Amino acid sequence: MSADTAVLEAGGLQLRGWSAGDAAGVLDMSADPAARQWSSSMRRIASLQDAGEWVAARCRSETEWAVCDAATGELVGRIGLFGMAQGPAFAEIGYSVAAGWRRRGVARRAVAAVTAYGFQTLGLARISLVHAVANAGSCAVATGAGYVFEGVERSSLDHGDGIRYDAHRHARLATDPFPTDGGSRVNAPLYAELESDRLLLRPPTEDDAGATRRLLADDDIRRWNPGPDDTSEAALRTWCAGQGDWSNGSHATFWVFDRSAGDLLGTVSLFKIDHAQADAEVGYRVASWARGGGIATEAMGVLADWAFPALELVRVELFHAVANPASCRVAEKVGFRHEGTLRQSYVYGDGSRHDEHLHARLAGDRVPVGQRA
Amino acid sequence: MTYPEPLTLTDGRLLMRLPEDGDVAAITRACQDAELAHWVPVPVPYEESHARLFVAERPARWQAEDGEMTFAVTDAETAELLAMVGLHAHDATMRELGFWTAPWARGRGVMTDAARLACRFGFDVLHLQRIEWQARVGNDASRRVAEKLGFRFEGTCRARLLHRGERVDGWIGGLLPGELT
Amino acid sequence: MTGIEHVEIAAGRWQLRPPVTSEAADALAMLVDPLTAQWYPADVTDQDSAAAWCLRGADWSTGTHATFSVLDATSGRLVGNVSLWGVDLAALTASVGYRTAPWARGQGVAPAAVDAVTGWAFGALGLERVELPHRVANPASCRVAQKCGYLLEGVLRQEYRDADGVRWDCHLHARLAADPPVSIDPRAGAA
Repeated sequence: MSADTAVLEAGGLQLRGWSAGDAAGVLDMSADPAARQWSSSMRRIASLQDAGEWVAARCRSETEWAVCDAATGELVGRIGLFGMAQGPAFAEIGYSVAAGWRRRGVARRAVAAVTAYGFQTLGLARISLVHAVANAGSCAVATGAGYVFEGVERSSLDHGDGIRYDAHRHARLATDPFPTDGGSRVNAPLYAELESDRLLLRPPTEDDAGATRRLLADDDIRRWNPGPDDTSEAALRTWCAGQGDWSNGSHATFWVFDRSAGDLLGTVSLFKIDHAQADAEVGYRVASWARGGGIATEAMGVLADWAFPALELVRVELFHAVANPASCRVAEKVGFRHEGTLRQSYVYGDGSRHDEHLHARLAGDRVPVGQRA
Repeated sequence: MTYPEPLTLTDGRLLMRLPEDGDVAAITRACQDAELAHWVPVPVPYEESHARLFVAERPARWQAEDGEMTFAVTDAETAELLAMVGLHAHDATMRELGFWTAPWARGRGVMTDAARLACRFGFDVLHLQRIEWQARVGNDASRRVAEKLGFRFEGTCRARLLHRGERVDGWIGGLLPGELT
Repeated sequence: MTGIEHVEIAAGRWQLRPPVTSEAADALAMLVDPLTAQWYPADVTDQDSAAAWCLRGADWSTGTHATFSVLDATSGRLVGNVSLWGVDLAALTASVGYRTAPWARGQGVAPAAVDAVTGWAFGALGLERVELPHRVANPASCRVAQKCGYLLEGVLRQEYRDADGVRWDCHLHARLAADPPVSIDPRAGAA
């Protein structure tokens, strides 16, 4: 250990400079597919010797930290400030979290600690956080730590795997107010695309209006989850665009497509997102032509698996009419437990007040195996 | 990584080549312009020694991995210096387009044509996967050039650009293969 | 957005009416009481913030709540507060919440107030369903709900996150307009 790296404390984490003894932990971290996907330097690690060289390179920096569990000293991630040569008072923050330590707020706490250090001790004026659009978890970390979204830069990220990724650029200035938890925009991703074996989930655009009209023109959907009253082409284009606009932070809505054929199969939505309470509701529709194939289960599973970590949710609720038992099966398969039966609690599309089941899944719930992509 | 040797680009009207000693006087004169200095972070006051150093560094910068391929844009007939355009390396397949136009050459579409030649060179010869454009917020002339070439506006970055020690807000845009118009 | 018209409701020993700022001192004492604050943290710390809390309670113009001060009908002193909140005049649903001043506990204020507001909500206001959620850890609320005919419909795991970030399991009770009547004796003893 040569560089004089400050030790930072962050809510149960200790951030310290790298030392030669970290090589084994780094080798473990580099075996994780996600770490390899987003880090070109990790991808090159194939042996303990490679890991040692990786660590040695970090030992020379005063602004790269090993993130450790403060209690056990276990290596749980890495974080650093880079690119300070580009100009005085500018830096870019980069980090990753070991596979077993995700969904526990490690990234957010480490980013907060290093951000504070960068502004207060290093006197930085601006720190950028650039992440691949597909890496939605990073988007939540960025917004949660007060890094304001500035734009989508197409094909701008080179992770060294031969693919150029579209990137979100976020930045925080030293003069920015500290983020407040519970602000409706805090934590909110602006866009995500999700995939499973058969499905592609992405926010709708106005160009989806035609297929959306066919999807909504169905008795079951009119009854249980109707679209807008006005089904003119213009109105549906506006509605689809609105469903795809997540900027107010209250919802994350996806249209579900057949990954190979490209056909619209349904919709899934996380809505009533309450960042202060860390909870939300989910709802979905399956096109009449796509029923009976487990589309809802697969899409809802993908949505839930994404939503808990990406939005740092603890509880997600699913309501359905008791008279709609198909939804009950979907809920149970995706791990939403039945918690109660609400009498006459909601007026559905048929104009009638229905009894409803309330299902909920918590972040720590055991989820049925084999039901998810 | 090896790069092609500095080369000359032309569309008949413009001729673009590596800056040379004979450009020093014209570069110095152009960089006295207050409008140019407001949008482009050239030294102020701009002295002949600045231009001399700039020209002298060009051949090495052309080949450097984090360098810049710079073209002096001249009138193909009169050889008068009109503008400067460069492609600054971000990584192996991405560069940033930068440019300024001398005050005596504005209003004739010089930069649009010169930047188009530079971008074509970037895609066809360097096989870039992305060309980026950044400008100080409010630099509408620069933005018009970028948009004419097909750059898509991507965002506004607060306090991202450093102009002679001052942090200013920046616009950012991107041009991908096949989008050059 | 349609507001809700102010009303006063007589409930035996107790009188319900919209809050007024002249009772801010009693409201402050009620809200900073640890037993109240434990379940209802109101962000009220002094006379001014208590007065602001009274004003918010008295503003029914959004149509989303109807909040009442509960008074001793004889002395006129504040003894509690009951609020019909989350009112949805389109869906005809709402929730109800309540707190009792420390000097009035053990006198059945809460069941009497909830019963009175429930009757008004189903009657004059025309609602069809009112929910009463409370933390499982607060069994006193459970007894109020049961006394007032709010059926337990479910246990919502970790449904509520408090200001310290602690998550609490909650009971969801609800009463429908069509549910059979219950009898609350306003002179009944301790809840």
